[in-house]
Amino acid sequence: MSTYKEINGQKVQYLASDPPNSHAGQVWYNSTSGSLKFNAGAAGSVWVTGGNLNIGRGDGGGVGTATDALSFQGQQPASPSYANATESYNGTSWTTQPTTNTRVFQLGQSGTSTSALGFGGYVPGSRTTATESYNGSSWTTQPTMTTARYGLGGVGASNTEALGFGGYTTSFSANATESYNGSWTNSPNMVKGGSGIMGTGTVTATLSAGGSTYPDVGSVTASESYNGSWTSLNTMPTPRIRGGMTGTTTAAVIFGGSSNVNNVYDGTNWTTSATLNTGHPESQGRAGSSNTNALIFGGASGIDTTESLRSTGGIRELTVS
Amino acid sequence: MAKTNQYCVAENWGKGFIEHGESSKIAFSGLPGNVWQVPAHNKDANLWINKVLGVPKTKDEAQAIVDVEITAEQTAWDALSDEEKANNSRPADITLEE
Repeated sequence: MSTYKEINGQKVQYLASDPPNSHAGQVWYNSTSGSLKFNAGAAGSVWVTGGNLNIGRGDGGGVGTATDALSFQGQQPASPSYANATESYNGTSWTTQPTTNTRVFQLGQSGTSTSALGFGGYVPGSRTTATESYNGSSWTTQPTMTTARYGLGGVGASNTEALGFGGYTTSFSANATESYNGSWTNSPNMVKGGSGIMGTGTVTATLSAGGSTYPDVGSVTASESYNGSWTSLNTMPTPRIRGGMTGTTTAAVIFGGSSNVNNVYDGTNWTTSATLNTGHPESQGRAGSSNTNALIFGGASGIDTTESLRSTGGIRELTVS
Repeated sequence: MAKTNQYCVAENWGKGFIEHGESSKIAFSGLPGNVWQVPAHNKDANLWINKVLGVPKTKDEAQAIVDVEITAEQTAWDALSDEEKANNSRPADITLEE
């Protein structure tokens, strides 16, 4: 068996910081962090298949992280097509949880797997203002939104704070914004907005992207940021509607829906990134905590597949046991 | 030749997906794979695509989606017993028009 020195020509270096120009395969000991590290090659990301939803459905709510997620409501092939199902994901498999009080799809969402809020959406024949909160064991009806809409974006850290934005309100309007802290209050309108729009971040630092607005039907590449008011940002390379987005206003990834190709945002520009293994059209269901921690699940016509985003390459710690 | 049709993909959500006022103004054709054919250069059709959050497709993209669905249906039909085949006709190919 070859040794590290025989392959690399030197012993493992003892360094106070990571070398600035390491090469793929190089190993060193970082004395500051006290860890053995290596260069795993060019940094990137890849989608990995996970466990299937128990009830395949699209256009549902999704919150949490890639290993601790909650999926709720949506559109399913079985009758009634408006789902009230709730499922939790542990990184491997989905488990059935208590159902919601209303059957809605294309809704907004905020929170975590044990503190979630679902709001707005489409109920049979009309858009709705309905809001429900989840505490990890049951759903409770909350004060309604001011403006009924579906296909809206939503962000927020818990079931007591949220920002709902965009979504179809009328044929020519999809830019309404509301904030929630136990009740809903109107906030400044988006610049462009969109229906089937995607959002990520916090209630005070929000990133939105994509969606559909008339007359730019189904082809919106616009993105905006919110910090009390909305500002237009650079456009994405890939038009997208009804997908997912995770991360922050300075480091985000948008995926699924009408395109299998990810776009990533670095705070200034959007570029193309990894590609999903399978299509998740009309998914909207998503979870994730960063631009490298993302989960997408479900889709139109009862798609039940799940994929999680994993980072590859880069500088990594070696764990020896 | 100017286009007479446009295509989009959107799953039918039931009540409210196509309303009476829309069907009186627009000629809809529902195709396999959640593909919808509506008139091109038509404001009412564009408003409907926007309402259902549809994803516009070129004719060739729509044809590819339809072909996949039809092929799957034909494969399923081919696997039926002779008795079952006698009660169902084989799904026919669909050719979309610009």
